[in-house]
Amino acid sequence: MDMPNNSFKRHWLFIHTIICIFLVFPAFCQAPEFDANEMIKFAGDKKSVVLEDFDELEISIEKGKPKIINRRTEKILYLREANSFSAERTIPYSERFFDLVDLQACTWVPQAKGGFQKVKAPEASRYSNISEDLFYDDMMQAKLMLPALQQGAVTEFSYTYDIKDPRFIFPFYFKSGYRIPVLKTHLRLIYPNNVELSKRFFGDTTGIKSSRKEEKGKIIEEFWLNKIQPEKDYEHSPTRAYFSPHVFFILKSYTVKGETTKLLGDVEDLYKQNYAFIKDFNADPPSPEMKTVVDSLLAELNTRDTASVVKKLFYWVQDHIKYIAIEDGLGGYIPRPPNAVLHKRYGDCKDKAALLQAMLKQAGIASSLCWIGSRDIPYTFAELPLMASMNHMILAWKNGTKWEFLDATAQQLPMGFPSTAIQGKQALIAIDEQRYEVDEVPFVDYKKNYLKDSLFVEITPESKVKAKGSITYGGFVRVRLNNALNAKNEKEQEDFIQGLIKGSNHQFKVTNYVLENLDDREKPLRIVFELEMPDYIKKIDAEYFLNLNIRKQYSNERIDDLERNVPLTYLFNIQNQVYTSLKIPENFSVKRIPENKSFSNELIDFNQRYRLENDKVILNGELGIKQMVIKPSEFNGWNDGFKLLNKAFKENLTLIAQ
Amino acid sequence: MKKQTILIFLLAIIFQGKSQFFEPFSYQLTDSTLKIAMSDQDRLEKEIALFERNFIWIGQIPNSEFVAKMTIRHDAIYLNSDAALESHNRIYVPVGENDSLHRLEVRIIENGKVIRTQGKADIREIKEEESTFKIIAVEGLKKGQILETLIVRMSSYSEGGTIQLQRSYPVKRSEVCINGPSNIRFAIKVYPKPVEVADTVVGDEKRFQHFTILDLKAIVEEDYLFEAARKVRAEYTLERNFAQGKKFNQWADKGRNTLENLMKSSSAEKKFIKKLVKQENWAELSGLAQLFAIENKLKGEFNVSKSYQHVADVEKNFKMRYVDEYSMLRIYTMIFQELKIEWELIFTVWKGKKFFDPDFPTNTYLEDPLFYFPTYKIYTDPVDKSFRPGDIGALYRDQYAMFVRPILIGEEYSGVTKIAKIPSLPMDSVVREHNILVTWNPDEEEVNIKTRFSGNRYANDGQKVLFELIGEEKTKEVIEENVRHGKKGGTFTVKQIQNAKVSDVETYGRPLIIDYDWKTTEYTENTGDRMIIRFGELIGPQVQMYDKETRFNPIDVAFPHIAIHEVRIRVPEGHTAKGYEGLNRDLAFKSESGEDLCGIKVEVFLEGNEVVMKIREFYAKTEYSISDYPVFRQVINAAADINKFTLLLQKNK
Repeated sequence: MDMPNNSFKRHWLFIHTIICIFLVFPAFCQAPEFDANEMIKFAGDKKSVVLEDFDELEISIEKGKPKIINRRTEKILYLREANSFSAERTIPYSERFFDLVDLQACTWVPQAKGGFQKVKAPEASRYSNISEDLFYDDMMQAKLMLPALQQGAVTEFSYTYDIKDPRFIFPFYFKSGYRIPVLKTHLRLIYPNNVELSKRFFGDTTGIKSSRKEEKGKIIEEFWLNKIQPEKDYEHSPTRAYFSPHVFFILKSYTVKGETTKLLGDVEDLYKQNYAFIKDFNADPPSPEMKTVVDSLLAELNTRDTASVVKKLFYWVQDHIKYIAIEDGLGGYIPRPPNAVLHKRYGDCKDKAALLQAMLKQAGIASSLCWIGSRDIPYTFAELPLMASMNHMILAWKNGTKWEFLDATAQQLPMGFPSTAIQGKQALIAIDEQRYEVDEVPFVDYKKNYLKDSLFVEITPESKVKAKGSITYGGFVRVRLNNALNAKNEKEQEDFIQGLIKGSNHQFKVTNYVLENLDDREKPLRIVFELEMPDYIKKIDAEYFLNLNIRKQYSNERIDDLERNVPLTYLFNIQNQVYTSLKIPENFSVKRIPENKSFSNELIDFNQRYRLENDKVILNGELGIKQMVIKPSEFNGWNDGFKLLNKAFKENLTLIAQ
Repeated sequence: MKKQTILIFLLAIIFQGKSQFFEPFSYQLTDSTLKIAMSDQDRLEKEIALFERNFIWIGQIPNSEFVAKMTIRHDAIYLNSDAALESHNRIYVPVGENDSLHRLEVRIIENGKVIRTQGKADIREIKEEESTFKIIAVEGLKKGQILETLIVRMSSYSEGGTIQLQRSYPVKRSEVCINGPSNIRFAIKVYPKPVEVADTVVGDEKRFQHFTILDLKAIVEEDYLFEAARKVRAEYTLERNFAQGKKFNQWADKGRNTLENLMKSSSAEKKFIKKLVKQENWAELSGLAQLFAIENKLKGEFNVSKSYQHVADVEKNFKMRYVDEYSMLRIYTMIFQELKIEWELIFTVWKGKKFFDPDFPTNTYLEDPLFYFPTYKIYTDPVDKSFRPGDIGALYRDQYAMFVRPILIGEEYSGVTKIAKIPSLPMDSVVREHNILVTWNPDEEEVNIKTRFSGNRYANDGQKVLFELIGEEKTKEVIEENVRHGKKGGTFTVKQIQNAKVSDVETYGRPLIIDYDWKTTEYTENTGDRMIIRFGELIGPQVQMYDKETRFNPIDVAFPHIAIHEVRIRVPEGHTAKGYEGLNRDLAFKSESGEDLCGIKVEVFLEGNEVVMKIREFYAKTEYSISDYPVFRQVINAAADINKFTLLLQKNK
């Protein structure tokens, strides 16, 4: 822990003195109250503490309709000099869905004579709020600077959303996501007793306290959590939604003059609301261009077998419609007309799904649009019948009695594979206005996602090592590599491929390589190469040492931090196979071959087998990662496997010169 | 001729009179693009610009009193790969506060025919903090098509600017023309290799200054390259007004004007600064301690950004504690003046972006401010929180800059300007050192690696500032991550960090020292009961250039430096070490004039019960010519070879 230095202590005496005198202000901007000593202790080595993170959701019925106001206030105490990270605050908003109707900020600056002086923040500036994967978004952000940040100061930041659609009520995260300690997170719900409001809690809710009262027809519920230390970041962890305590609100219904209006509540309600987005988007008949494109694609097929037609059109949309997302009002929810998408040659996930649907229809094949949540979203539709449980659109077609899922947003995805991000997720499949189905997208078996590494190694008369080999990528491994290559220019591609061949042995020299099947997503992608591995063999006296585990893939998977309380996640399961053959030079003999090793549990399979076959030593290695999510309770079993794997990777073969 | 210029492109200059004599307000997309012949070779390219025109008009807007600048960018690019489609199907046009987009038109051409056009109706706007973007998603773009784009921007008049000419794809024909009234002339210079610029006056009223470059190759991406600075570009700046007989854009004028404006302050501001100086007791301090105290105060209290709104009131600045860069300069200079500290204002540009040309006075080289203190012969960066007096960013060194010294004329301040180089630090003042001791208890799988890192100036890898910005705990995490280089196993402990506080005047000049221990199997392998230590990897992964035999661009190194490693592997009792023999190297290269270039010395030997490896690697310059590449590569690869060193520890029989 960072021990406070002397000057820090001096400053704190000063702060401690001045906080005894409080100024009183009404409503927003009331002088802060806190116990300085307690805050120093609570902050540990952090520079600041959130005194309060307060969120108030007030629902009322105005003119027969729900009015939803969300007020948020944050107070931060700066225990030491504030740095440049602290001063800027940005608040996203959408004029259409959740408008920012009030924004205020001030800093309470400690005064030498005691008390605080309030310094008001200047007016916020307003900018576009474009996330990385969107080309255009009508979301905006307000940005303001918190003024006069200094040791002992308290910033107060408060804003209000007018939530114009109950579907867009934000969840409340009790652990807030701050990287500094939080003294208290506090949620208050205020709603009339003619409103039915459901709360869905997720994550570990231990420690959350609550109260409920009813006053003059209004229900006031409060929830709070005290003394929260920041959640630690771990690599390959799932999103916070999987583990951090949070609550969603579902405005189920409201009653006015005895008449109850149902809004949300179950999957059926969700479907009805979603269906409105896709009901009328494709009113036009297929354009001549649509007909021409589909006809020409069908003409390239010598079969009318449904699966072949689906595949042909699915691949065409993947390859020819570029991903450009334009989120403009309801354009973020309603697919654009397929004729237009085809003509423009770009679209987002729902545009691509809808275009594929229209093209299949033109080819006489029925299909259904589906809403789905990516793996970042942990909820089933029944658990959370809100749009927050979905963030993607795909297409489904029925192959016999089984739904097959087509994610046209993916690139180089072969038929029969869902995209990695939707494996195991529920899809809400739109049949018609009344009918829908919920089905689960299957996981892809680890044996289908493979990396096969073959290397034929020779020792030259000069005791240098050279090799010929290939690496073969199948399933999602191929898709991932393909996408990585597509995102790079020629020079970057070359460096990247060389890196794949060399692994961590950056001293190796790739003398030649060929990339095979790059343009055929149904075949495994293969890199065939020749490699010089100078000094890879170590000569000491008459002995030569050489490790046949050249690339040591997955040697870094062990979880060192056993205090980690969040799972480890992978994008997909995988099988890694290694075949290394060393030709023993004529004047050499094998002195020692490493022992065979194997391990298997429900998480991983691993084995390494060496054998001497004529003038060759051959290593066959296999590693299967069978689960995409490794829970903390499984970490020890996981580590046992990788500990053995790492040990096996370190074993050298010993040759001896005659 | 010294081969410091790029070999990859062939510059051919031709004087194409009329095509460049554009009319700014009636400039059109014409059928001429449809008639451009493409060779078979062109069609094999994944992406090639058939032409790119950068035309600038400066003059009075018709029927108005306003003088403005109009910039026309017109190009036609043949797109023949998915990557090319992806990089061109979204067009972003930045529009600054003083700019407006006059026209943005797009045409898709296939087989000599325009098959689609987009324009005003398709433009959307994104408002970001620094600027606003006008954007178009290009519709229907396919491989094998030509995308023709015309962007016309109107902006307030400015005296100069930069035109980027080299792209990540080849440009068959790059035309530049500046059109202004005949009584004014611009200086135009093309980098890195000058191109002759034609100067044509038409009808006594209009002047066209123009040049064309044919077959401009794509920049070759290489390691150790300041790519932006090495790309072909043109700088232009107003040079003369013949009507007034006036010469513009002399360094002296720029320096004087900048300083005179900067030093304007109100009496209330002066009073406030006087009070501040008294309150902080700065007058009681002197020398470096005084400068340190000022910087600590200002850098500790203020958030500074070029994008913050300018508030010309220092008292208000201190109240709000965030300022734009210019206000920060004002505060510094007022404090220096109050304390009678001798100072000079410097403006230069980051070397990764441009090499400052002392012979071409233009504002585009005057991006970033620094201060120089002649009394102490040291520099400081008024904004960068990583540095304190005496240190500035490495890429401002070995770079020319405009120095302006304030002088009092009557009761007003003015400035005297000189152009000089900010010197590079000698390599022996930037030393990164690792002392590593490896011990192994044969009863255990892991080895203990005890390391002391010491790095001064730039050799501390920016880690010094972390301590204050993110705290000790996080700094330790960053250090661990840096040392591990992705190797996950074992127990890593940062034992001690010394001299880590940027704001501590006592320790600032001392090297950052970090002691850490790592108990790990990451560097060991086995063969039966014998241990192989890959001790060459203990110095961290080294850059290699084994495959890169040809160099296309000069070599840029951020700063001269020395790297020293001493690795000691203690051989356990009853064991013998083998495999350390024959690893010594000694390479040292000098220029023809006898200056140090680069070198590496490696010694591996047995000393008592320890195998010792000593390495001294140095790079004495910041720029190496292409002819120096073979020796530079040799040194780089010799260092990379060390990563392959292994040692066998075996039990004595």
